[in-house]
Amino acid sequence: MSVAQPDATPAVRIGSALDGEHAVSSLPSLFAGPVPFSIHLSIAFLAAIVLAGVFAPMLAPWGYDAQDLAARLQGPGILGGANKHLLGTDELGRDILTRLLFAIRTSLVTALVGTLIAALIGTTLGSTAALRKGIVGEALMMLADVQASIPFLLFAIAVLGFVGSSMPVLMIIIGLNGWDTYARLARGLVLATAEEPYVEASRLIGASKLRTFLRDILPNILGVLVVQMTLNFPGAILLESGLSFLGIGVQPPLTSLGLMVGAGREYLLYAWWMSVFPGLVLLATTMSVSLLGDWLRDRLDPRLAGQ
Amino acid sequence: MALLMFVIRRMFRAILTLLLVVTFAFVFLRLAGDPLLVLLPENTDAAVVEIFRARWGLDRPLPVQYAYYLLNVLQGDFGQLYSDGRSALDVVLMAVPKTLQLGGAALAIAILIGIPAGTIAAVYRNSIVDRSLMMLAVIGHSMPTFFVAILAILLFSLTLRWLPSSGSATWLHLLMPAMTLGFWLAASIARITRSAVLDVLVRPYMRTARAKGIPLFRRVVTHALPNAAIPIVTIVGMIAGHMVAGAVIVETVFAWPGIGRLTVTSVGARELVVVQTIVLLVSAAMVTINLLVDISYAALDPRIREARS
Repeated sequence: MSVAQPDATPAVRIGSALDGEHAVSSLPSLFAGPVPFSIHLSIAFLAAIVLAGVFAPMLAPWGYDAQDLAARLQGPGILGGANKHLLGTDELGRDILTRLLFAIRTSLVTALVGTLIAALIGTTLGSTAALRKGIVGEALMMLADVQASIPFLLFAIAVLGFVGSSMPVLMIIIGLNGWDTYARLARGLVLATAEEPYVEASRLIGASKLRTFLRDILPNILGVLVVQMTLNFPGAILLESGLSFLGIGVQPPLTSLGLMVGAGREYLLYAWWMSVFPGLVLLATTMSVSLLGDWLRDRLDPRLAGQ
Repeated sequence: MALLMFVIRRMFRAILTLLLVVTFAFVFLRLAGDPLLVLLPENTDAAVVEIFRARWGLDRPLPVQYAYYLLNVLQGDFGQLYSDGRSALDVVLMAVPKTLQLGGAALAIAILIGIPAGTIAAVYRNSIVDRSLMMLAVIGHSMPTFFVAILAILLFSLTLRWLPSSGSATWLHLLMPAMTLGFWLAASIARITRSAVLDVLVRPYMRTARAKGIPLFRRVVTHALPNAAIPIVTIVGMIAGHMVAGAVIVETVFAWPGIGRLTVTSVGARELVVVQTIVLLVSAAMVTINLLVDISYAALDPRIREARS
C-alpha cells in the first residue's frame, strides 16, 4: 500500500478538513487570536496544580503521614501566629498542605485515567456504530441511550459500597460514567468525515476499513474528542471527589480532595481549614477546566456555542 | 401510524432498559457474596444453612433464581431488610416524599433563576451581560455541591447562626439544601434556555413582531419563550438524572431524610436490598420520564418521528 498511500502529513489533512463543511480544527490553531484573561488565569492555575501534583513528594514540607498529636487541629500559619504549618493541621496533627499536595495528585490521576477510559470506550463503540451500520450500530447506540437514562451515581455507590472500593474499580466506574457522550460524538464525526474525498480515496485504493479509520478518519476527529475530554474532565473529578466525600471512593491511607473535604466535615466548628482549603483547590480546578473546555469548544465550532 | 410505531419502539426500548437494570441488580447481588452468610448468625450449623438455602431457593441453578427474582420484582416484592425483616419497598417509599419535597423546591428555584437568566443572555447575545451570565453558568455547573453545602453551613449555620445545618423539622431546614441543589440545576437550565431562545429569536415571526412595533419584553415573553419551551422541556429527563445525583450528596450533607441519604446509610449498614430497591425504582422513574418526554415531543413535532425511524 505504500505507493498508493497519500503522503500528506496529518497537518495538511487537517487543513483540508478545515475547508469542508464539517470543519475539524487542530488543537494549536485554537489558540491563535485573542485569548481572554479568564482563560490565561485558568491555564496558569491548571499548570500550577499539575506541577503541584507531579512534584508533590518534593514540595511537601512535612511527611505525608507524619502525625504530631501535640499539634492537633492547629490553625493555618498563613493567617498569622507562630504556626509552622502553613495551612494548619488535621485531627491527627498531620500537615494540611502536605496532604493537599498528595490529594491533588490522587484526584488528578484518578480523574485523568477515568476520562481516558471513557474516551477510549466511547470512541471505539461510537466509531464502530458509524462504520458498521445495521443491527450492531443500532444496538451500540441504544446502549448509549440506556446509559444516559439510568441514575449512574446510584449504581456507582452500589458497586463501590458492596464490592468494595479500590483505585482500579474507582477508575473504571469513572470511565463508565461519561462514555456515551464520546460515543454519540464519535459516531457523528466518523459519519461526517467518512464523506470526505480523502477518505473516499483511501477506500477506493483498497485500504481496509480499519486502516482507513486509523490513518484517515481518527487523526482528523481527534481534536474534537480532546476538547470533549476537557469538557468531561470536571465531571470525572467531581464524581471521584463526590464518592470520596461519601467515604466510598479513594480509601485511606491514600487521600483525595473529596476525601479531605469529607474528613473535615466533622471538625467544621473548630477547624474549618481542614475542609475549606482542599475544597477551594477542587473548586478552582473544576472551574478552570470548565472555562477552558467551554472556550475551546466555542473556538472549535462557533455553532456549538452555548449548547 | 408513524406516531404509534414510534411509541411502540420507544416502549420496547424502555422495557429493555429496565430489564438490563434488573439483570444488573441480580448479577450484582450474587457478586456481593452469599446472602445466607450475611443473614444467619456466624456459627450456624452447616445443616441449618442448607435448610435455609433450600427454603429460600438459593440451591437452585442461577437461571431459575433469576427467573424467580424477576417474578418477585414484577409483583412488587423487592425483598426484606437483613436487620429487622421490614419490606425494603416500604422503607424506600417512606423516604420518597422528603426527596420529592427537596427536589420540587430545588426545581422551582432552578426554573425561577435559570429561565430568566438564559433568556436575558440570549436576547443580549455576546454582550458583557451574556458573557458574565454564561461564565456563571459554567462555574455553577462545575461546582462541587458538597463543598458549596459545607460553605453554606459554615456561613449560615456556624457563623451567622441563621439556619439549621441538618434535619428536616421545619421549612427553614429545607432552605439550604434546596438552594444548593437549585443553584446547581439553574446553571444547566440557563444554558439550555439560552440556546433554545437563540434559535427562536432569528425566526421570521420574531421579525414580524418587531416590525409591528411590539416592545422587546412582550416579544420575548409572548412570542419567543413559548416557542423555545419544547427544547427546554425535553431536558426534563436530564434534569431528573442530575437531581438524583445531586440529592445523594446534598441530602447526606444536610442530613435530609430522603432517598439519597437512605442510599448512603444503607451502604454503610450493608443493607443491600434497600440499595437495590432504590436503584430499581429510581431507574424505573427516570426511564418513564424519558419515555413520556420522547412521546410528547414526537406527538408535538412530527419531524422527530420520521428522523428516528
